[in-house]
Amino acid sequence: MSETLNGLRALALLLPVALGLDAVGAAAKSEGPTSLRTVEGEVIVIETLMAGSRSDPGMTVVRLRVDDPEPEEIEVLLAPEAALRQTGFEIERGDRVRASIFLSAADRAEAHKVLNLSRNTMVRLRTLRGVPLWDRAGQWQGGPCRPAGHRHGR
Amino acid sequence: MKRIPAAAMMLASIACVAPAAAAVLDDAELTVLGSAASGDYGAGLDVRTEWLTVRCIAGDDLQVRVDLSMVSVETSTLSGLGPTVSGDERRRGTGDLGSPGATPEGESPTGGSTMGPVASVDSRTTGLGDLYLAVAKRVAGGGVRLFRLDTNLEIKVPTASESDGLGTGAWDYRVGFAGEYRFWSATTWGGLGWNRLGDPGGVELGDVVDVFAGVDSVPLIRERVILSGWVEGRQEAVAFSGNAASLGVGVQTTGRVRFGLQMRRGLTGSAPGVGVVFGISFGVSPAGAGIRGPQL
Repeated sequence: MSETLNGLRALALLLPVALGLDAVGAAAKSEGPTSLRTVEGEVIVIETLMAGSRSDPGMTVVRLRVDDPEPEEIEVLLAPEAALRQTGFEIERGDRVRASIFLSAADRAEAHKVLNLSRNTMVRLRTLRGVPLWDRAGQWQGGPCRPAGHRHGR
Repeated sequence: MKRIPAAAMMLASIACVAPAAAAVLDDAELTVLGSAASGDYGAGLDVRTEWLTVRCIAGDDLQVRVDLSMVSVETSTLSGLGPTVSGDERRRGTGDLGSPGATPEGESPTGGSTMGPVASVDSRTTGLGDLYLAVAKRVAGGGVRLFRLDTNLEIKVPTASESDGLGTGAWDYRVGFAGEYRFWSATTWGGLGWNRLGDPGGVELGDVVDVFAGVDSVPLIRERVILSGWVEGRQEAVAFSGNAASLGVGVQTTGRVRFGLQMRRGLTGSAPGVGVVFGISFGVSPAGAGIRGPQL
Protein backbone atom coordinates (compact mmCIF):
# COMPACT_ATOMS: atom_id res chain seq x y z
CA MET A 1 0.00 0.00 0.00
CA SER A 2 3.02 2.28 0.20
CA GLU A 3 2.66 3.03 -3.53
CA THR A 4 -0.88 4.14 -2.90
CA LEU A 5 0.18 6.46 -0.14
CA ASN A 6 3.07 7.82 -2.17
CA GLY A 7 0.76 8.40 -5.11
CA LEU A 8 -1.73 10.25 -2.97
CA ARG A 9 1.03 12.37 -1.51
CA ALA A 10 2.27 13.22 -4.99
CA LEU A 11 -1.22 14.19 -6.07
CA ALA A 12 -1.71 16.27 -2.95
CA LEU A 13 1.46 18.16 -3.77
CA LEU A 14 1.01 18.58 -7.50
CA LEU A 15 -2.64 19.37 -7.93
CA PRO A 16 -2.53 22.53 -5.83
CA VAL A 17 0.52 23.62 -7.83
CA ALA A 18 -1.28 23.09 -11.11
CA LEU A 19 -4.45 24.71 -9.89
CA GLY A 20 -2.53 27.52 -8.25
CA LEU A 21 -0.73 28.36 -11.48
CA ASP A 22 -4.08 28.42 -13.20
CA ALA A 23 -5.47 30.76 -10.57
CA VAL A 24 -2.53 33.13 -11.03
CA GLY A 25 -3.14 33.12 -14.76
CA ALA A 26 -6.82 33.77 -14.24
CA ALA A 27 -6.12 36.67 -11.95
CA ALA A 28 -3.79 38.18 -14.54
CA LYS A 29 -6.59 38.06 -17.10
CA SER A 30 -9.10 40.15 -15.23
CA GLU A 31 -11.03 41.08 -18.37
CA GLY A 32 -12.48 37.62 -18.85
CA PRO A 33 -16.15 36.91 -19.45
CA THR A 34 -18.32 37.25 -16.43
CA SER A 35 -20.75 34.34 -16.48
CA LEU A 36 -21.30 31.07 -18.25
CA ARG A 37 -24.72 29.84 -19.21
CA THR A 38 -26.03 26.84 -21.13
CA VAL A 39 -28.77 27.40 -23.69
CA GLU A 40 -30.49 25.23 -26.26
CA GLY A 41 -32.31 26.31 -29.37
CA GLU A 42 -32.48 26.60 -33.14
CA VAL A 43 -30.13 28.45 -35.45
CA ILE A 44 -32.13 31.07 -37.32
CA VAL A 45 -29.37 33.24 -38.82
CA ILE A 46 -25.69 32.64 -39.63
CA GLU A 47 -23.41 35.43 -40.75
CA THR A 48 -19.74 36.15 -41.11
CA LEU A 49 -18.57 39.52 -39.87
CA MET A 50 -16.99 41.68 -42.53
CA ALA A 51 -13.86 43.76 -42.26
CA GLY A 52 -14.57 46.99 -40.45
CA SER A 53 -17.11 45.49 -38.14
CA ARG A 54 -16.82 46.22 -34.48
CA SER A 55 -15.87 42.62 -33.68
CA ASP A 56 -13.24 40.45 -35.34
CA PRO A 57 -13.56 40.29 -39.11
CA GLY A 58 -14.18 36.80 -40.39
CA MET A 59 -15.90 35.78 -37.18
CA THR A 60 -18.89 33.50 -37.57
CA VAL A 61 -21.96 34.68 -35.68
CA VAL A 62 -25.16 32.74 -35.17
CA ARG A 63 -28.49 34.00 -33.97
CA LEU A 64 -30.22 31.41 -31.84
CA ARG A 65 -33.90 31.18 -31.08
CA VAL A 66 -33.49 29.78 -27.61
CA ASP A 67 -36.27 27.72 -26.04
CA ASP A 68 -34.38 26.41 -23.03
CA PRO A 69 -34.17 27.64 -20.33
CA GLU A 70 -36.53 30.41 -21.51
CA PRO A 71 -37.61 31.74 -24.92
CA GLU A 72 -35.36 34.50 -26.25
CA GLU A 73 -33.07 35.31 -29.16
CA ILE A 74 -29.32 35.52 -28.62
CA GLU A 75 -26.44 36.35 -30.95
CA VAL A 76 -23.44 34.17 -30.29
CA LEU A 77 -19.90 34.66 -31.58
CA LEU A 78 -18.50 31.28 -32.54
CA ALA A 79 -15.03 31.44 -34.11
CA PRO A 80 -13.33 32.64 -37.28
CA GLU A 81 -14.67 30.85 -40.31
CA ALA A 82 -11.23 29.40 -41.08
CA ALA A 83 -10.83 27.97 -37.59
CA LEU A 84 -14.26 26.36 -37.71
CA ARG A 85 -13.44 24.86 -41.08
CA GLN A 86 -10.21 23.41 -39.69
CA THR A 87 -12.02 21.67 -36.86
CA GLY A 88 -14.61 20.25 -39.23
CA PHE A 89 -17.46 21.75 -37.23
CA GLU A 90 -20.38 22.70 -39.46
CA ILE A 91 -23.52 24.59 -38.61
CA GLU A 92 -26.44 25.61 -40.77
CA ARG A 93 -29.70 27.45 -40.43
CA GLY A 94 -32.28 25.20 -38.83
CA ASP A 95 -29.74 23.17 -36.85
CA ARG A 96 -30.61 22.55 -33.23
CA VAL A 97 -27.73 23.33 -30.90
CA ARG A 98 -26.83 23.35 -27.25
CA ALA A 99 -24.19 25.88 -26.29
CA SER A 100 -22.43 27.08 -23.20
CA ILE A 101 -21.94 30.79 -23.71
CA PHE A 102 -20.25 33.65 -21.94
CA LEU A 103 -22.54 36.53 -21.20
CA SER A 104 -20.83 39.87 -20.99
CA ALA A 105 -21.61 43.57 -21.24
CA ALA A 106 -21.14 43.38 -25.01
CA ASP A 107 -24.14 42.87 -27.24
CA ARG A 108 -23.07 39.41 -28.33
CA ALA A 109 -22.36 36.34 -26.28
CA GLU A 110 -19.24 34.22 -26.93
CA ALA A 111 -19.38 30.47 -27.27
CA HIS A 112 -17.40 28.29 -24.93
CA LYS A 113 -18.63 24.92 -26.24
CA VAL A 114 -21.20 24.08 -28.89
CA LEU A 115 -23.04 20.81 -29.44
CA ASN A 116 -24.79 20.51 -32.78
CA LEU A 117 -27.63 18.14 -31.96
CA SER A 118 -28.70 17.93 -35.60
CA ARG A 119 -25.29 16.72 -36.77
CA ASN A 120 -23.98 14.96 -33.64
CA THR A 121 -20.87 17.11 -33.48
CA MET A 122 -19.35 19.06 -30.62
CA VAL A 123 -16.49 21.52 -30.36
CA ARG A 124 -14.92 23.60 -27.61
CA LEU A 125 -14.01 27.04 -28.92
CA ARG A 126 -12.76 28.92 -25.88
CA THR A 127 -11.34 28.09 -22.49
CA LEU A 128 -13.38 28.80 -19.38
CA ARG A 129 -11.48 32.06 -19.11
CA GLY A 130 -12.72 33.00 -22.55
CA VAL A 131 -9.38 32.55 -24.24
CA PRO A 132 -9.97 31.64 -27.91
CA LEU A 133 -8.50 28.41 -29.20
CA TRP A 134 -7.27 30.04 -32.39
CA ASP A 135 -4.43 32.43 -33.12
CA ARG A 136 -4.48 36.00 -34.38
CA ALA A 137 -4.52 34.78 -37.96
CA GLY A 138 -7.67 32.78 -37.25
CA GLN A 139 -5.88 29.43 -37.43
CA TRP A 140 -7.09 26.69 -35.11
CA GLN A 141 -4.75 26.02 -32.17
CA GLY A 142 -6.93 23.74 -30.09
CA GLY A 143 -5.45 20.48 -31.37
CA PRO A 144 -7.48 17.47 -32.38
CA CYS A 145 -10.83 17.31 -30.69
CA ARG A 146 -10.11 13.94 -29.14
CA PRO A 147 -7.40 11.30 -28.87
CA ALA A 148 -7.27 8.13 -30.91
CA GLY A 149 -7.60 4.67 -29.52
CA HIS A 150 -4.57 3.99 -27.37
CA ARG A 151 -6.34 3.42 -24.12
CA HIS A 152 -4.62 0.24 -23.18
CA GLY A 153 -1.08 0.48 -22.01
CA ARG A 154 0.96 -2.58 -21.32
CA MET B 1 21.88 -5.10 -10.53
CA LYS B 2 21.72 -2.50 -7.83
CA ARG B 3 18.26 -1.09 -7.40
CA ILE B 4 17.71 2.45 -8.61
CA PRO B 5 14.62 4.01 -7.03
CA ALA B 6 11.95 4.44 -9.65
CA ALA B 7 11.17 7.92 -8.41
CA ALA B 8 14.79 9.03 -8.88
CA MET B 9 14.86 7.61 -12.39
CA MET B 10 11.60 9.31 -13.18
CA LEU B 11 12.78 12.69 -11.98
CA ALA B 12 16.02 12.32 -13.93
CA SER B 13 14.11 11.44 -17.07
CA ILE B 14 11.74 14.36 -16.70
CA ALA B 15 14.64 16.73 -16.15
CA CYS B 16 16.26 15.47 -19.34
CA VAL B 17 13.32 15.40 -21.68
CA ALA B 18 10.94 18.08 -20.45
CA PRO B 19 12.56 21.20 -21.92
CA ALA B 20 13.10 19.64 -25.33
CA ALA B 21 9.73 17.96 -25.34
CA ALA B 22 7.83 21.10 -24.52
CA ALA B 23 9.61 22.94 -27.31
CA VAL B 24 9.24 20.46 -30.14
CA LEU B 25 6.19 18.34 -29.47
CA ASP B 26 3.62 20.20 -31.51
CA ASP B 27 2.38 17.06 -33.20
CA ALA B 28 3.12 14.45 -30.58
CA GLU B 29 2.83 13.76 -26.92
CA LEU B 30 5.58 12.52 -24.65
CA THR B 31 4.59 10.94 -21.37
CA VAL B 32 6.72 9.72 -18.51
CA LEU B 33 4.92 7.22 -16.32
CA GLY B 34 5.96 5.85 -12.97
CA SER B 35 3.93 2.78 -12.13
CA ALA B 36 3.83 0.31 -9.29
CA ALA B 37 1.73 -2.79 -8.79
CA SER B 38 1.70 -5.38 -6.09
CA GLY B 39 -0.21 -8.57 -5.76
CA ASP B 40 -0.53 -11.79 -3.82
CA TYR B 41 -0.69 -14.53 -6.42
CA GLY B 42 -1.31 -17.31 -3.95
CA ALA B 43 0.94 -20.15 -2.77
CA GLY B 44 3.00 -17.69 -0.77
CA LEU B 45 4.05 -15.58 -3.72
CA ASP B 46 3.94 -11.79 -3.44
CA VAL B 47 5.13 -9.74 -6.38
CA ARG B 48 5.79 -6.04 -6.41
CA THR B 49 6.66 -4.45 -9.73
CA GLU B 50 7.68 -0.90 -10.56
CA TRP B 51 7.94 0.55 -14.02
CA LEU B 52 9.34 3.76 -15.38
CA THR B 53 7.93 4.17 -18.85
CA VAL B 54 8.64 6.75 -21.51
CA ARG B 55 5.78 6.85 -24.00
CA CYS B 56 5.56 8.76 -27.24
CA ILE B 57 2.29 9.08 -29.18
CA ALA B 58 2.13 10.80 -32.54
CA GLY B 59 -0.64 11.29 -35.06
CA ASP B 60 -4.39 11.42 -34.87
CA ASP B 61 -6.34 9.43 -37.45
CA LEU B 62 -3.30 7.21 -37.78
CA GLN B 63 -1.60 7.13 -34.44
CA VAL B 64 1.68 5.51 -33.44
CA ARG B 65 2.74 4.75 -29.90
CA VAL B 66 6.06 3.60 -28.48
CA ASP B 67 6.54 2.55 -24.87
CA LEU B 68 9.96 1.87 -23.42
CA SER B 69 10.30 0.90 -19.79
CA MET B 70 12.68 0.25 -17.01
CA VAL B 71 11.26 -2.36 -14.70
CA SER B 72 12.05 -3.51 -11.20
CA VAL B 73 10.56 -6.70 -9.80
CA GLU B 74 10.58 -7.72 -6.19
CA THR B 75 9.32 -11.17 -5.31
CA SER B 76 8.72 -12.56 -1.89
CA THR B 77 8.17 -16.29 -1.73
CA LEU B 78 7.32 -18.52 1.16
CA SER B 79 9.22 -21.73 0.50
CA GLY B 80 7.33 -24.97 1.08
CA LEU B 81 7.89 -28.05 3.19
CA GLY B 82 6.98 -30.48 0.48
CA PRO B 83 8.95 -31.65 -2.48
CA THR B 84 9.82 -28.97 -4.97
CA VAL B 85 10.57 -29.17 -8.60
CA SER B 86 13.96 -27.65 -9.18
CA GLY B 87 14.39 -24.88 -11.65
CA ASP B 88 15.69 -21.37 -11.51
CA GLU B 89 13.76 -20.10 -14.46
CA ARG B 90 10.97 -17.84 -13.45
CA ARG B 91 7.64 -17.99 -15.03
CA ARG B 92 5.61 -15.00 -15.79
CA GLY B 93 2.85 -13.65 -17.89
CA THR B 94 -0.33 -15.10 -16.55
CA GLY B 95 -1.57 -11.86 -15.13
CA ASP B 96 -1.42 -8.80 -17.31
CA LEU B 97 0.07 -9.08 -20.73
CA GLY B 98 3.74 -9.53 -20.06
CA SER B 99 3.54 -8.51 -16.45
CA PRO B 100 6.73 -9.47 -14.75
CA GLY B 101 6.58 -11.62 -11.69
CA ALA B 102 3.16 -13.21 -11.96
CA THR B 103 3.18 -16.99 -12.12
CA PRO B 104 0.57 -19.65 -12.60
CA GLU B 105 -1.53 -20.07 -9.51
CA GLY B 106 0.01 -22.54 -7.12
CA GLU B 107 3.53 -22.39 -8.42
CA SER B 108 6.45 -20.59 -6.93
CA PRO B 109 8.52 -18.29 -9.10
CA THR B 110 11.39 -20.72 -8.81
CA GLY B 111 9.34 -23.39 -10.47
CA GLY B 112 8.59 -25.44 -7.37
CA SER B 113 5.25 -26.36 -5.92
CA THR B 114 4.58 -25.27 -2.37
CA MET B 115 2.81 -27.20 0.34
CA GLY B 116 3.48 -25.20 3.47
CA PRO B 117 5.32 -21.95 4.07
CA VAL B 118 8.28 -22.02 6.40
CA ALA B 119 10.55 -19.22 5.24
CA SER B 120 10.44 -16.10 3.12
CA VAL B 121 12.77 -15.71 0.15
CA ASP B 122 13.03 -12.21 -1.25
CA SER B 123 14.65 -11.11 -4.45
CA ARG B 124 14.73 -7.99 -6.56
CA THR B 125 15.93 -7.39 -10.09
CA THR B 126 15.96 -4.23 -12.16
CA GLY B 127 16.56 -3.74 -15.85
CA LEU B 128 15.19 -2.81 -19.23
CA GLY B 129 11.54 -3.72 -19.68
CA ASP B 130 9.74 -4.83 -22.80
CA LEU B 131 9.32 -2.50 -25.75
CA TYR B 132 5.74 -1.89 -26.89
CA LEU B 133 4.93 -0.67 -30.38
CA ALA B 134 1.37 0.16 -31.32
CA VAL B 135 -0.54 1.56 -34.24
CA ALA B 136 -4.16 2.77 -34.13
CA LYS B 137 -6.22 3.61 -37.20
CA ARG B 138 -9.44 5.59 -37.09
CA VAL B 139 -12.26 3.53 -38.51
CA ALA B 140 -15.17 5.88 -37.93
CA GLY B 141 -16.00 9.17 -36.29
CA GLY B 142 -13.37 11.29 -34.64
CA GLY B 143 -12.72 15.00 -34.89
CA VAL B 144 -15.75 17.00 -33.83
CA ARG B 145 -18.08 14.00 -34.12
CA LEU B 146 -19.44 12.64 -30.89
CA PHE B 147 -18.17 9.12 -31.43
CA ARG B 148 -15.08 7.46 -32.71
CA LEU B 149 -13.99 3.91 -33.38
CA ASP B 150 -10.37 2.91 -33.81
CA THR B 151 -8.73 -0.38 -34.54
CA ASN B 152 -5.32 -1.02 -33.11
CA LEU B 153 -2.40 -3.41 -33.24
CA GLU B 154 0.11 -3.69 -30.44
CA ILE B 155 3.33 -5.67 -30.41
CA LYS B 156 5.42 -6.44 -27.39
CA VAL B 157 9.06 -6.80 -28.32
CA PRO B 158 10.68 -8.97 -25.62
CA THR B 159 13.54 -6.68 -24.70
CA ALA B 160 13.24 -7.50 -21.00
CA SER B 161 15.51 -10.18 -19.64
CA GLU B 162 13.71 -13.46 -19.13
CA SER B 163 16.52 -14.91 -17.07
CA ASP B 164 16.38 -11.95 -14.67
CA GLY B 165 12.64 -12.36 -14.30
CA LEU B 166 11.75 -9.07 -15.95
CA GLY B 167 9.71 -10.41 -18.84
CA THR B 168 8.49 -13.51 -20.57
CA GLY B 169 11.14 -13.40 -23.27
CA ALA B 170 8.43 -13.96 -25.86
CA TRP B 171 6.71 -11.76 -28.42
CA ASP B 172 3.11 -10.83 -27.71
CA TYR B 173 0.55 -9.39 -30.08
CA ARG B 174 -2.73 -7.64 -29.48
CA VAL B 175 -5.36 -6.60 -31.98
CA GLY B 176 -8.44 -4.78 -30.88
CA PHE B 177 -10.93 -2.01 -31.14
CA ALA B 178 -11.39 1.06 -29.00
CA GLY B 179 -14.17 3.57 -29.12
CA GLU B 180 -15.73 6.41 -27.27
CA TYR B 181 -18.87 8.49 -27.17
CA ARG B 182 -18.91 12.05 -25.93
CA PHE B 183 -21.79 13.40 -23.96
CA TRP B 184 -22.22 17.00 -22.91
CA SER B 185 -20.73 16.41 -19.46
CA ALA B 186 -18.80 13.17 -19.80
CA THR B 187 -17.09 10.88 -22.24
CA THR B 188 -17.60 7.14 -22.15
CA TRP B 189 -15.05 4.83 -23.72
CA GLY B 190 -14.23 1.18 -24.01
CA GLY B 191 -12.36 -1.44 -25.93
CA LEU B 192 -11.97 -5.09 -26.73
CA GLY B 193 -8.77 -6.89 -27.64
CA TRP B 194 -7.46 -10.30 -28.53
CA ASN B 195 -4.02 -11.14 -27.21
CA ARG B 196 -1.67 -13.69 -28.71
CA LEU B 197 0.73 -14.42 -25.89
CA GLY B 198 4.13 -15.90 -26.59
CA ASP B 199 5.06 -18.83 -24.42
CA PRO B 200 7.85 -18.38 -21.92
CA GLY B 201 10.03 -21.43 -21.30
CA GLY B 202 8.09 -24.28 -19.73
CA VAL B 203 4.72 -22.52 -19.65
CA GLU B 204 2.09 -22.56 -22.34
CA LEU B 205 -0.05 -19.47 -22.33
CA GLY B 206 -3.38 -19.39 -24.04
CA ASP B 207 -4.67 -16.58 -26.20
CA VAL B 208 -6.83 -14.25 -24.17
CA VAL B 209 -9.45 -11.58 -24.67
CA ASP B 210 -9.34 -8.34 -22.71
CA VAL B 211 -12.04 -5.75 -22.30
CA PHE B 212 -12.25 -2.37 -20.65
CA ALA B 213 -14.83 0.39 -20.27
CA GLY B 214 -14.82 3.67 -18.45
CA VAL B 215 -15.93 7.25 -18.23
CA ASP B 216 -14.12 10.61 -18.12
CA SER B 217 -15.64 13.74 -16.72
CA VAL B 218 -15.48 16.97 -18.63
CA PRO B 219 -12.64 19.15 -17.38
CA LEU B 220 -13.59 20.38 -13.92
CA ILE B 221 -12.32 23.10 -11.58
CA ARG B 222 -11.79 25.81 -14.20
CA GLU B 223 -11.17 23.09 -16.80
CA ARG B 224 -8.03 21.96 -15.03
CA VAL B 225 -8.94 18.48 -13.81
CA ILE B 226 -10.47 15.41 -15.47
CA LEU B 227 -11.74 12.55 -13.32
CA SER B 228 -11.89 9.02 -14.67
CA GLY B 229 -13.15 5.62 -13.62
CA TRP B 230 -13.13 2.29 -15.38
CA VAL B 231 -13.31 -1.48 -15.14
CA GLU B 232 -11.10 -3.86 -17.03
CA GLY B 233 -10.93 -7.60 -17.39
CA ARG B 234 -8.83 -10.29 -18.97
CA GLN B 235 -9.31 -13.97 -19.59
CA GLU B 236 -7.08 -16.46 -17.83
CA ALA B 237 -3.97 -17.35 -19.80
CA VAL B 238 -3.35 -20.56 -17.87
CA ALA B 239 -6.09 -23.01 -17.03
CA PHE B 240 -7.56 -22.57 -13.55
CA SER B 241 -5.53 -19.43 -12.84
CA GLY B 242 -8.72 -17.40 -13.04
CA ASN B 243 -9.85 -14.40 -15.03
CA ALA B 244 -8.50 -11.04 -13.93
CA ALA B 245 -10.69 -8.03 -13.29
CA SER B 246 -9.78 -4.64 -11.91
CA LEU B 247 -11.39 -1.35 -11.05
CA GLY B 248 -9.54 1.90 -11.64
CA VAL B 249 -9.93 5.56 -10.83
CA GLY B 250 -7.80 8.45 -11.98
CA VAL B 251 -7.34 12.17 -12.08
CA GLN B 252 -5.53 14.16 -14.74
CA THR B 253 -4.82 17.82 -15.14
CA THR B 254 -5.18 19.60 -18.47
CA GLY B 255 -2.92 22.01 -20.30
CA ARG B 256 0.34 21.74 -22.16
CA VAL B 257 2.02 19.94 -19.26
CA ARG B 258 -0.35 17.44 -17.70
CA PHE B 259 -0.07 15.47 -14.49
CA GLY B 260 -1.98 12.30 -13.86
CA LEU B 261 -2.52 9.86 -11.04
CA GLN B 262 -4.33 6.55 -11.21
CA MET B 263 -5.09 3.83 -8.76
CA ARG B 264 -6.25 0.36 -9.68
CA ARG B 265 -7.64 -2.31 -7.41
CA GLY B 266 -7.84 -5.96 -8.39
CA LEU B 267 -11.29 -7.47 -8.10
CA THR B 268 -10.14 -11.05 -8.57
CA GLY B 269 -7.28 -13.06 -7.12
CA SER B 270 -5.37 -13.26 -10.37
CA ALA B 271 -5.27 -9.49 -10.87
CA PRO B 272 -2.62 -7.35 -9.17
CA GLY B 273 -3.98 -6.31 -5.80
CA VAL B 274 -3.11 -2.64 -5.99
CA GLY B 275 -1.61 -0.59 -8.77
CA VAL B 276 -0.63 3.06 -8.85
CA VAL B 277 0.45 5.17 -11.82
CA PHE B 278 1.83 8.67 -11.71
CA GLY B 279 2.67 10.42 -14.93
CA ILE B 280 3.48 13.67 -16.63
CA SER B 281 2.74 14.43 -20.27
CA PHE B 282 4.20 17.05 -22.58
CA GLY B 283 2.96 18.25 -25.91
CA VAL B 284 -0.30 19.47 -27.32
CA SER B 285 -1.45 16.68 -29.56
CA PRO B 286 -3.36 14.47 -29.37
CA ALA B 287 -5.29 16.48 -26.84
CA GLY B 288 -5.89 14.77 -23.55
CA ALA B 289 -4.38 11.46 -24.59
CA GLY B 290 -1.93 11.27 -21.72
CA ILE B 291 -2.83 9.42 -18.59
CA ARG B 292 -6.40 8.27 -18.93
CA GLY B 293 -7.71 4.73 -18.95
CA PRO B 294 -5.87 1.51 -18.15
CA GLN B 295 -2.14 2.07 -18.01
CA LEU B 296 -0.81 -0.78 -15.91
